[in-house]
Amino acid sequence: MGSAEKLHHLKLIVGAVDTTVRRDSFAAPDLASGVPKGTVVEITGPRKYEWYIAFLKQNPELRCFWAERQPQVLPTSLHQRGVRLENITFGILGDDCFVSLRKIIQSQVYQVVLTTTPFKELKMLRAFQLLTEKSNTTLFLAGSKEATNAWPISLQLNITQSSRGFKIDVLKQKYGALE
Amino acid sequence: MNVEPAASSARVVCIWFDTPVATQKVAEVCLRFSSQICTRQDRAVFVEIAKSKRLFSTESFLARLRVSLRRLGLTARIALGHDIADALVCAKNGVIDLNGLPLSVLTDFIDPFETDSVSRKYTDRMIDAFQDVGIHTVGDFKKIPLSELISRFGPIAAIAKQRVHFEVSMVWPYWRPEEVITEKTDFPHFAFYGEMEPLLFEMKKQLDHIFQRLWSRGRKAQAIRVRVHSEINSLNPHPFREFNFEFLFAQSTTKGALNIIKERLFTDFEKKPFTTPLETLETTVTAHVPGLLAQKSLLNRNEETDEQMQALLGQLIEIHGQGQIYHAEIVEDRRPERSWKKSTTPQPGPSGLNLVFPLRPTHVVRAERIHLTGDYVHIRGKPHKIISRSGLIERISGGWHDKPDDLENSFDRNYYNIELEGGLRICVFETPDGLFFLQGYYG
Repeated sequence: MGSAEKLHHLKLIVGAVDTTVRRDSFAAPDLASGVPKGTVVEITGPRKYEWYIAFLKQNPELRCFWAERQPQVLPTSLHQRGVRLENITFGILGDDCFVSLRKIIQSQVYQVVLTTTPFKELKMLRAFQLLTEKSNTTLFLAGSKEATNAWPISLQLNITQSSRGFKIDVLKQKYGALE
Repeated sequence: MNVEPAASSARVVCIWFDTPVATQKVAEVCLRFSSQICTRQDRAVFVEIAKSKRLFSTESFLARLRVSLRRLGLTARIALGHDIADALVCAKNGVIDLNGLPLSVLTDFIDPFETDSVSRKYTDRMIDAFQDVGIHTVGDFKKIPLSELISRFGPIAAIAKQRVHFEVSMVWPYWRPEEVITEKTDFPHFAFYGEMEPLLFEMKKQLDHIFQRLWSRGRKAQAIRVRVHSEINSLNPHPFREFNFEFLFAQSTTKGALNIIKERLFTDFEKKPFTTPLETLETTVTAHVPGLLAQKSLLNRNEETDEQMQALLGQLIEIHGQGQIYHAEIVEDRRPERSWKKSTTPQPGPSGLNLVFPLRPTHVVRAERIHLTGDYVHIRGKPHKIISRSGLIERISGGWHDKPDDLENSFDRNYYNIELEGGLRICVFETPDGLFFLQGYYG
């Protein structure tokens, strides 16, 4: 854990961080607080893509860029689940996608961007945090199996299946009340 | 820039340049105002505005023209007149009233396009004769009776008299825009080597001019060719370089096109740096398409967003290659991996697909051999405990014509879903040989 992260963690323990601060947010399935706009969100768990697809279905007006390392997502399945395919652009950006993602976010054409590439470097995540905030684009990171400790990430969700839909563990939430 | 006040009966605008300029470019930019245009070599452009008065008021026209000239980096004197000669003389001399002008302006009335040297010679003789008898201004000339002029100076004087009184209309010479839109910049020697920034700076200027010319024609650039020439010597193995850009979406703005061009140049310059000074940069539009359909709506920003998206996608395709950035179009094929195809434009999906197909996995992988043994499925040699296994979900036959080399005898497939420990659900299929393959997984 880095010093900034440690400090933030300690602040959370003593209540020095106001977690009730809210931003404009998108409605999200099984997540009452929604997904804040202009932030970096990390999703993990065996149902993360199903949840993201349900999120797109719930917000049909959103333009989404779906960035992958290799072509794996099946667009037919998205259509079957009620997502409007005309609002989604797919991109096979490979491993070195930082520059492209930066251009996509800066363009402000897409309100949400999903990437399956894991980012380990904190400075990259910090850059994304600033870019998303400036362009009011929400960046979903779905590349890591385990949630990362990086402090620029505003919301971390671990999504699994439950009998009634999705079971969401909020691992970290900067904006809005903790669930 | 010196703009004369508009006359109510003005029909022609003259744009006069004190120094020689590329009047062809200016004339092309003026195509947005009127289709009746002509030029006087490299010094003047004439635009007929009477027919487009319902589209532009004179003030609006002048304001737009000033902006266009500023974008081209030009300064000019603009004047309105009854006809070509009148507008030319007013613009050239910066006046509204002709009467006070010296008689030498009669040469412009007689030959406004500077093409008839014989007429000019006779006009000069006539002017000298008038000055000898004390007639020095156009106002004095107007007072002379026509009968006296013809008897002394012949038809040239009659024409001059009619033209200063705007009694005869002039024929407009034929003018048409250039077939190929091209911009070229020559750099002085040793101005700069192969640095990107100064080159992009010059290129932006060229693209600004190109897109202004295209816009006035109602066109968009579909393909652009960029040529960069550098000084030839033995140290430089690639002194002439040519880059051809076929845009996926026709470009109408400098920003979008420059970003795409920049990516290619940056990659090329990185691989093969210029070692000698650059001499020439030339940008040519090799293909253009109609652009008037994309007129902007006043009620929403859809056109701007679409344009931004097209520019971004063009740039991403330049970086990652054709086919790597795409929209998806659903096609009728039962095989999951063939149930869609790539498309360059957004495509809405067909309705009623859920009724035809069972729910597909969110991700499809290249068919991979797996082994099912008891309660375990072995994927890449690693065992995963099976929590539950569905019955037959679907049987798909066909696709023999695709001749898959890597997956023999896979034309009849039985599909199953398997839930693994840890919550992961996979989709597998079984071939007639009893072999199992991983098809995909539910995220």
